[in-house]
Amino acid sequence: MMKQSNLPTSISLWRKIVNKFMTILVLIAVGLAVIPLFLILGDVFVKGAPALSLGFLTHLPTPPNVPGGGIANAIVGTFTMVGIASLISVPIGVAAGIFFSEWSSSKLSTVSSFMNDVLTGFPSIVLGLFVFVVIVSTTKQFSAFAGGVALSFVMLPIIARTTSESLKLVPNTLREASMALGIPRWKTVIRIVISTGKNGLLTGILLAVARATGETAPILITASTSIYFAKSIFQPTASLTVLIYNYATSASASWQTQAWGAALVLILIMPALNLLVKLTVGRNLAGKRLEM
Amino acid sequence: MAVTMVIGNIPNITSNLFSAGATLSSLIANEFGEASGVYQSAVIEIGLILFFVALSVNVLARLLLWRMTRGTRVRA
Repeated sequence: MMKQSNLPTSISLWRKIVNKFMTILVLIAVGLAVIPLFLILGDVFVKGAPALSLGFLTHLPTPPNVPGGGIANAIVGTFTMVGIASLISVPIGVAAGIFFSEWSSSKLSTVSSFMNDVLTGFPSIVLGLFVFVVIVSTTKQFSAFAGGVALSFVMLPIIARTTSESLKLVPNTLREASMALGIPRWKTVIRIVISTGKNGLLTGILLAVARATGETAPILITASTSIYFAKSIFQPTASLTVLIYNYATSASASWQTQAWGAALVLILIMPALNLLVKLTVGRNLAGKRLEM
Repeated sequence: MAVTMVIGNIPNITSNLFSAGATLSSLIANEFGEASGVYQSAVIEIGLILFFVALSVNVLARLLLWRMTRGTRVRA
């Protein structure tokens, strides 16, 4: 810093040095932020890949150190619960998001929007406790239904927030143009605003699904676990995350290996689902554009 | 949950960051399975405490944000 006052040429040199130094510092920070991701991915792939096989995906779990165990029921259970959670939270969340963005001037909207933010930062285990008290202890039964309800509380605020944020990005001129043509407000929202902000909406829903798929605590408390396929959604149901938790903290080496395998499956499910949805919906959107 | 797997889950308070301990969430996750009766109520009360902790952090963050944005608006 003292060199700044010496010579005009040395100022620019000093600045260049500081600039380089800071750039390097920032790059190091980026590296530090990204390295854990690759370390985790690498670790899961290296340790999980040996456990993977077709049988691992299609067989039921076996006791510790009995070969041939699989995670089929956990995969089905995870999809069941996330499905139930999506059925509950997507309509309500999208509707709430529309309210937050299209009626943002109303006081109720401001207050409930804040409440929504509080729910977003909520410890998911407390949501699980709530569902346990309301559903599990009244029906005296751990169930996939209770797990789905608990997960819907996790998904709901995320969907509402991302919906409202992506609808706020829709230019106001579109709304005004629609109003000027005499189209009622509800129709404007459904046909103009939502169809314009559809991509953001979808991304938000996928984000929420990803979050719910990875949740352990609320499911552990509400759906418990099982070593069989659940016969109905009102029975204890296995899920990938709880299975990983149980297997990884167990003493059995074979279960620990399977936990790595299940973790790998869990990690691979989300990008696959993401790609699938993006492909199908992307195609639909393209079709719509041609129609227009 | 991620913490539950590595913290050790021992109910003690130490000044040593490298010794086993517990968090509110890890306590709930571990104790809830075997809990019943008053014990279960106690675990649910831990949930209540956790709820208040989360709520106050949220409200504080909101207040901070509110004050910051109000400050910029006054200056502009």
